Amino acid sequence: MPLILLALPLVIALLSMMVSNRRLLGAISIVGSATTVLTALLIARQVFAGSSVVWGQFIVIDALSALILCLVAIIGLMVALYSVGYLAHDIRIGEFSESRVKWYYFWMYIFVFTMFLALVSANLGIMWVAVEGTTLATALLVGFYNKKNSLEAAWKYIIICTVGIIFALFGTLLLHYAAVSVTGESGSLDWQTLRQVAERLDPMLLKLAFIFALVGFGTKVGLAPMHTWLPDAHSQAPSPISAMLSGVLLNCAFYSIVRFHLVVSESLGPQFSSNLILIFGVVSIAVALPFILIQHDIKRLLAYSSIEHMGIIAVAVGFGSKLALYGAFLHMINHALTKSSLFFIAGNVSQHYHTKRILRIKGLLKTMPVTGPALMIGGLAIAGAPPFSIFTSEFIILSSGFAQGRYAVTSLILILITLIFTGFVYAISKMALGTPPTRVKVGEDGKFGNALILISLVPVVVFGVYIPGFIEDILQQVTTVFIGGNQ
Amino acid sequence: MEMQNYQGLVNFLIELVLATVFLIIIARRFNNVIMAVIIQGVLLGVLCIALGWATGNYEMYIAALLTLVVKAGIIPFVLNKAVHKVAINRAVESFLSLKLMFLFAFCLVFTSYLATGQVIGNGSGLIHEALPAAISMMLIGLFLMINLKFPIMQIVGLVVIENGIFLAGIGTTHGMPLVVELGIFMDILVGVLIMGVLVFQINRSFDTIDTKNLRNLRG
Repeated sequence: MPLILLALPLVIALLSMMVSNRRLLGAISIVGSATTVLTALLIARQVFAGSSVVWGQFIVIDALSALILCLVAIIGLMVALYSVGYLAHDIRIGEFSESRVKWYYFWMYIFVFTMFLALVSANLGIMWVAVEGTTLATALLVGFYNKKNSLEAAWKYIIICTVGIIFALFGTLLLHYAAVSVTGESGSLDWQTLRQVAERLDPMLLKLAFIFALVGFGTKVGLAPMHTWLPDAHSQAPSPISAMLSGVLLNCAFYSIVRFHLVVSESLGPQFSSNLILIFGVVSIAVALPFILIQHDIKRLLAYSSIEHMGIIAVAVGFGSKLALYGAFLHMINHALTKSSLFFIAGNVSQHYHTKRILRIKGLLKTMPVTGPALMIGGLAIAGAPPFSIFTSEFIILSSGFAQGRYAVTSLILILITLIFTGFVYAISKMALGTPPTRVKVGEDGKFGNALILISLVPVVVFGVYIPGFIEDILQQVTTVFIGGNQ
Repeated sequence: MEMQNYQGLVNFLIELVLATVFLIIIARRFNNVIMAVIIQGVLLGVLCIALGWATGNYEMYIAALLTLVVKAGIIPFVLNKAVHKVAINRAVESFLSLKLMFLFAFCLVFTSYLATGQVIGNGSGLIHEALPAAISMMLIGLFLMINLKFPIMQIVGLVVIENGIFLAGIGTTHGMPLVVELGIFMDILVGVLIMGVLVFQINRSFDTIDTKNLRNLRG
């Protein structure tokens, strides 16, 4: 089963290379993604029924990997659906020629493959290879428009992320060096084995390894101060790709940090690595604030909000209590769903208004009867307004912080996200309200994309008032991964 | 311990590898930079062979072969192509002067020898030159990326950093497991290829390849 999951995106990527008809490519991608979702859900069902999926010595899927695996697959399907209309529009207005569409799909599915590989791999070395692979797969997608700005973004992206993540390779090497005398060559990077023998590893080397891994993978997560590639890449990539970068790639990178965290905290106790993650999280939220307040570009606004939310997840994992972890992964789900639909909305808006500048987008509620209200809902949700899902998870995380007696940190975060809330809502209302410019016609561009946006906002609204039993159960199981259960 | 007989040779090779980094620093023409990258790749390959011979670990020969093909073959070839396309006849430009760069690089080497001595004591079964030399290479690679102006030199800096980590790997533990090693080789290879493609595209869109043009996106 896990092999099928890995093979599917590769097969789709190869098929895409052989086809050049746009409609056929879209069909392949949608059918393929739907099959992938099905496979991922089947795997998840087995995992959440209580047994990890294992294949040989290379693949282990526990509750944590299964959760993010499903997120990748589901958002992958939504992106596949949205891409069809988005690409058709761009080709119609001559942004790029139809012959390049196959490259779009090729790299997109290589990207999905590398994310899957990072999540299912039992070996931290292969996980590193896969995370670096995500950078390589998306670099040309970020520069897909071939304009000056997008090429600049692509260059910054590939250079900053590769340099950043090469530190994680050094961290992995140090871990290998610490472990190889205990476990032997074959098990030295296997995270299950490492957790079992963690007490016998040299703590000094483990500390160093974790710092390097945190900085390296943290670059990919977009933790400040290594976040500088993120707003550029997210704003210049085609909107469906931005949705994928923000919605799932950041989570995959965060997953890598968590794997190191679990090994290291087994040996050094939870304090050392948790505190480091916590500090990076708080700094990320603080750094995102000024950029959100003065932002002029709708997609950059969303990108900085991603930095903020990854910061919040990091803070929650740093808190480390059962409640905080529950909140962290609920927040991960909420953020992935909300942010990806917001990037779809931003795609609609920028295609309709032919600009991404917030000042030039006015009166969305009047011009776009579906996208406009959706932007209001999504914007309020991502800013953290009740009764939407993000509010719930932020509330859980903050209350767990207070429950632990970390009053100073938690209050600081509370103040920061309140300020971010005001900035975000201000920007959103500037776009949604007001009188539309006369050059913009009234009406939506495609029905299909709109339906998709509405569907993806359903869980955003629902999870705010009611968390279904099965989600509850999944989250409980994910938190037990942290205390060594579910093996 | 047959290893002892080869310690001298291996350490000497590692020092030569570190010396090639300084060749890159003093090179004022792209051809010379690429030549230095090739020499570095070949030396790393020889180092692998020497270690394989000393330890009888057959994986080292595979690593040697890959190093020679990828790091002394394909990567310099791609770099050379990129140079010919976009920057032929141009001198390497840097922000700092040559003397300052040299001084700075020396300080970095000195620091890493000092620092690694404190982290990992002597006699921990590892070749004592490998780790400080590797960390020096990582730091100097970063320094090159910051200080030199052309995107191609940033790729070179990246290759130097990666070579440093590879050196640390083979020097401390005879490399990571083979599958991982293979994956890393593939990543660095594909990475350099994609960066090469981007350099072409940037050159086409901007009519130049200077990194000072890549400063539009802020805030």
